[in-house]
Amino acid sequence: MTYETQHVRTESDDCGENGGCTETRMTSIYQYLDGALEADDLAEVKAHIDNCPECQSERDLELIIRDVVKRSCEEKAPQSLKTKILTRIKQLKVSEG
Amino acid sequence: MSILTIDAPTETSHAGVLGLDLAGMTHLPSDIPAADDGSRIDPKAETASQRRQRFERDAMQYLDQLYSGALRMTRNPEDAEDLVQEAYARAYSSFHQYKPGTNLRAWLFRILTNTYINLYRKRQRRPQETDGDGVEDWQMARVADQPPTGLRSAETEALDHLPDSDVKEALAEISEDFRIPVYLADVEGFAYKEIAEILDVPIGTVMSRLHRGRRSLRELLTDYAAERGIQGAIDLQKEQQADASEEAQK
Repeated sequence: MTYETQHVRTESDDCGENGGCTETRMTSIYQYLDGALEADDLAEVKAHIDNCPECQSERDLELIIRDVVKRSCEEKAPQSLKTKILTRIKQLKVSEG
Repeated sequence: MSILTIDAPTETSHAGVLGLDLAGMTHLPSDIPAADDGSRIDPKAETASQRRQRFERDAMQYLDQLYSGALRMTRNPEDAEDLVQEAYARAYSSFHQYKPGTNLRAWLFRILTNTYINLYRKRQRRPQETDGDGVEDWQMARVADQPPTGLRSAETEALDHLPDSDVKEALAEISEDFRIPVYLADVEGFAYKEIAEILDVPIGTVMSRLHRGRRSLRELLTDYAAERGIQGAIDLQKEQQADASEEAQK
């Protein structure tokens, strides 16, 4: 499936000269990291990031944040919860078919 | 509107998630691409006990993930347990509507989200934020002004070592319209399209909420990291001073 990508940055953009343009830069970086770019856009954004220290640092910071968030949010459900659910399911009447 | 187009993100509208109701439960995401190989099963030919066995085998494996998600939604363990239990009961009751071979994890997360919105948000134990995402405009401006390279390496290091409790606190501070999409994308790894189906909002809305939620989260986390980074430097200095005076006394 395809959808329009917003403000895809290209190699010719200069993040430093236009004052960083944080919003557009971050949109591209998010889409890039989310695997949401089509092949053509992906190549362009990747080429830009590879040549732009500011974007590299944004990308790295975003990767650290995702890593930290993922690590912090992985929880184990209490065994008692599983037992409660299984018991409740057994008691539920479900329509056939 | 088509999910193929991006709607204009409006900063004040939270109607998407708020607009979901119980009717949403009948429009379950049956066309999400297959992740589980169960396409040969015919739910119509199943006995009740076969269906229960299939549910226990296929759906219960996502318990930890649903519980983790529920914790981030409700922000307290008691409500999270209640929510997950209710969501599983609902999922089991409508399991005959689940199309084998489609993405069961996304289907369960949709039920979890709907259940949360319908049952739990109204009686949350913690007061609900009014609006916005917990980050003031001046803080937004600061994110925009601050060059990424402005984050000192000590802070990056502190960010990497932030305790889980800080990260959970930061997430809890963001309003749920932004928090839930960020959780679904960054922790559960769902694609924009899957999140759009789980939350029943257009893809463009998912993208704009993700953008805003992530920006808020980054601001909060870098603040925490900066505090801890500075505190770490102070602690180190005190340690060194203590060592020096110890040396001097010898």
